Amino acid sequence: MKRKNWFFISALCALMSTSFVACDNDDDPIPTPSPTPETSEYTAGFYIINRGKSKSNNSCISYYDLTNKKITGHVFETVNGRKLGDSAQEFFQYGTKIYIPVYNSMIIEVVDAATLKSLKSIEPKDAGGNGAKPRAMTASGDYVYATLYNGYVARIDTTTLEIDKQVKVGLNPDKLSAQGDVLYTANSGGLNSPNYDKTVSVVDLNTFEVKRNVEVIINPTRVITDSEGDAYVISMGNYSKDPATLIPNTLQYFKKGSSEVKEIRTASVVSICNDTIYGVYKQYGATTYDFFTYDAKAEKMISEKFVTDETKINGDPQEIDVDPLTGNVYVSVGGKDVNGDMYIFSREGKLINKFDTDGLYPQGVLFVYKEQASEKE
Amino acid sequence: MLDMFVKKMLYLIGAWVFFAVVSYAQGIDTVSYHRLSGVEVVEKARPSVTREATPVQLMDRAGIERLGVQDLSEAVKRFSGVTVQDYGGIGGLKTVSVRSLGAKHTAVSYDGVTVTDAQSGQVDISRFSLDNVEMVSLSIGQADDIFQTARMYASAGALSIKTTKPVFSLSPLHLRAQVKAGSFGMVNPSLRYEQKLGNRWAASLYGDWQRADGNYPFTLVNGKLEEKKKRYNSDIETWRTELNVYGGFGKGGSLRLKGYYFDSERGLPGSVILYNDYAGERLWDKNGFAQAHYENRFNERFALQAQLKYNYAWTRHLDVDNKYEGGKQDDRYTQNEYYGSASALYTPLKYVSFSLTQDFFVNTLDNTLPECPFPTRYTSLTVLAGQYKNSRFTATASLLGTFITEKVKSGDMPADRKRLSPAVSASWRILADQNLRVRASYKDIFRVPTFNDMYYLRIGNTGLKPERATQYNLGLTWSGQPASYVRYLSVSADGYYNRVRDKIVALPTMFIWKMMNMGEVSITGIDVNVSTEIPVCNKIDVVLQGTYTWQRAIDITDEEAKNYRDQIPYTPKHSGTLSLSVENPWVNFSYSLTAVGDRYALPQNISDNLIKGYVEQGISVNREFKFYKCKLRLQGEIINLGNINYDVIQYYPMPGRSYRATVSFIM
Repeated sequence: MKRKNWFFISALCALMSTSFVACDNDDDPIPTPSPTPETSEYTAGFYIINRGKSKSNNSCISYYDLTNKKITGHVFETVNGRKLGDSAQEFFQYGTKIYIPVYNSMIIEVVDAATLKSLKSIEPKDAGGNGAKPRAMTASGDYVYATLYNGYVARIDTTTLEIDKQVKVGLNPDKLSAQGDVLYTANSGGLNSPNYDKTVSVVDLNTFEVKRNVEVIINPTRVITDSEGDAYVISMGNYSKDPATLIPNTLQYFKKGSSEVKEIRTASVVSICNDTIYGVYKQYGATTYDFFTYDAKAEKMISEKFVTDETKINGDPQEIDVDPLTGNVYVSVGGKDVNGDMYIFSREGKLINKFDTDGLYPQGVLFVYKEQASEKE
Repeated sequence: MLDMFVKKMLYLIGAWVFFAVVSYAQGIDTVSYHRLSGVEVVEKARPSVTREATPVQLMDRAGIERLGVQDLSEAVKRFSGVTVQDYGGIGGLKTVSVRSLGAKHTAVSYDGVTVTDAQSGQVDISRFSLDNVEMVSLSIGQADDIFQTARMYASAGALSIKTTKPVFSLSPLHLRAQVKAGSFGMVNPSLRYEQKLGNRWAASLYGDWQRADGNYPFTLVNGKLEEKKKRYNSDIETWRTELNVYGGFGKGGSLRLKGYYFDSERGLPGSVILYNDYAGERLWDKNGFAQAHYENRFNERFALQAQLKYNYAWTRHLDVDNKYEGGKQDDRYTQNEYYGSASALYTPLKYVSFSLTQDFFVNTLDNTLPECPFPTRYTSLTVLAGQYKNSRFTATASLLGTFITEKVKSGDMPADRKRLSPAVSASWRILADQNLRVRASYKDIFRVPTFNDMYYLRIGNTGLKPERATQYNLGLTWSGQPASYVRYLSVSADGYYNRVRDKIVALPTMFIWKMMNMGEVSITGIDVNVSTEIPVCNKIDVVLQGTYTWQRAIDITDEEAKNYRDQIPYTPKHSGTLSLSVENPWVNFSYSLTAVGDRYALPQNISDNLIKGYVEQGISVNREFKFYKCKLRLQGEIINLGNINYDVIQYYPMPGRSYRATVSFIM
């Protein structure tokens, strides 16, 4: 245990002067010190967030050092002396802070990006003063936004870390995405199964009001935006086991300002980096998967088979992250109530590395960059 | 005389040392052992149980009273080879798993008729009161009694509850009025009235009401933080009523009728979630059944019995949470069961008997969830059993035939199920003049997927196969009087191997969970039971009892999996109990201890999933006062004497030290 502490402290010291960034939040960079890594930098490592199993209070963050290929688990607990909570959904960096929606714990944990020290646990409340469950985060301008599973989006001031306003969207909003003055929420209605919601709310960030709802395939759970503000939406469909009635996991898109939705293809998880969409399709129960890339600007498929070697993914992909510096693709894969795995593919789609994430159901990574020079000393 | 006393003391010390070794072997750290070192009690393993060809353990009324056991789960925890899953508190779900096979493989019978829940497949034993109970027994594998319902053959283990049957000597009526009260606002008055009705008939009426706030304190450990907290939303209120009519027709046989009604409302505190104290779930249960049992032993050769039962179960589950549209989810479930059983016992020769048993039952489920398929399940169980039994040798063989067909109003219709399940057992007294027996048994059994497994919204899977369990047991038993100053000593040791195939588990698949036949478990274990009684002098009687279980239950589903050959969740390698009771004319006293080793909350055996072992102790004292024809009995208990903070199920903390007192008036 002592050794572990020492290792982590030294790792932290090494990180002091570095910055890290997640690829899919290089939005309007007002308080952001480094929206993209400098070319003089290299990827030193990355943090992994593990959601854990529901009701097990085992959400945790691991750090993977790419130089010595070592993982250090439970770094949030080591720094803060307490656990992160139950069912952390993702982590999201904006400027010098990382925001973590911890669903069952009903808090948004805000930590300092350089030290992981907790700055605040924001407790979202409904109108009646009861806690609400945060689901996902995004940001634009001076605000960070969180979906709350009771049907709202909360706006958080990045300096005071207070929720100053909430707007009602659809049922059980899941992931959300903002670009400039527009924000989209995927309203899943997941708890109303089989009567799922099927809307994406479009919120005007100038007024913080819902401008319109765009109808998509039932059970939308994820929305991402490209640099033009177009929305790419994944609907999970109805999970039917009967092929005749199955509505599969599907990727759709609509342009900013439009409500005309076009289907792209089947997909379960997608992510975007520099207007390239990386997507995986693995319908439940399936043992095989499709890994594709799509050009969001040209609106055309780049590759139907991104993974070019024979890599089998053992488990279910939960999240995809792309390192903008190297183009390497990180796939977080959940097991069957056992620790998850991280699969790292090169930009050519070859497996570089695969390792245990030291936690259950990993939900993505945040990259840590370092100056080349400092490392040579 | 002094010599005798020394001998007795030596024996007692010897017994202590034995239990100490057992306890040490459980891997409990020695410090806590020395602190607790007590000895033990119980009447459960009576000498007679050593004769059974499969392991049987029992606790009778005397044992229940001596140990101050107040609910069924406390009694069952004293048995070896058993894990009671306990979600904490009076209203917390409590289920029994025998030898790591899972609670769904355990049948629970109430006065001979199986209590079932076709929806969840497991019985919450917290709903039974022990006040009305004469005996609780647990048999593993196929019990020697071949004259019982077919359902009692259709499980890997059976927990039998027998209620008190009135026996009249002088007075034609008996009355027992009792009030129990305890920590966390628990109050439980009960009344039992027995009336003789002519020469052959009698009736008894039992009723009780219980309430508790249940908001007990606990310590939450979160990293380096330790926080004193309280459970909330743990209140419970329960009504129980039971009417029994016992009748005889002389040569026409005997009849027993029972009506039972249970009604409860409780808050569900849920698991402890860090940083979130909200708990908004409530549960309402209404369960009523009527059953009739008829038995006629025509002559030495031929006997018949038949039973009928109707069971109604209604549950309402309310979850108030702003995540739902409308701020709440309010579900109701109704289940009906119609059950009939007939059994014939034929004894053509002195040592040989055969039985043929036929059960038929229908189960229905109706709920308010969307897409409820309203399933109706028809089950037929047929058993043919044969037994040879003389004073030295017992051999039993049985074959159970199962046929199940199911109808649904919508959705997929599952295929019919047919299966033959054999069981064999034998017990042999090795020496003519010593009560040393060797026993061996084999049973192949399965459990059918529950309605939840098959139809639960989105998660259910109608394509499931039954989950199979194969059991092997080899044991030695000995009982006797090792010395003149020992009333009896009884020892049994059983080694076993179980294999579970096609285990039904919920597996995560891309964003949702699904029930699958995906699991294979290999279980190896040893159960040891020891009990002895020593009359220290003619006024003082000491009963000592101990159990020890070692289990290796490993997941062998997938060689590639990270939990391959890891101990399955919630299965301690070592566990055991000790008890000591001292009966005397002044104040009867008993001490009991339960020790459970380290367990894992999740499939992977890593430190993140570890739940620390614990030792829980309790003491009970009682005294009876007699005046005229009446008796007044006072009893008090301290539960969790060491005020140990422990979990049986992770994040469902158990109560700390608590107290209970009972005043009974018996006439």
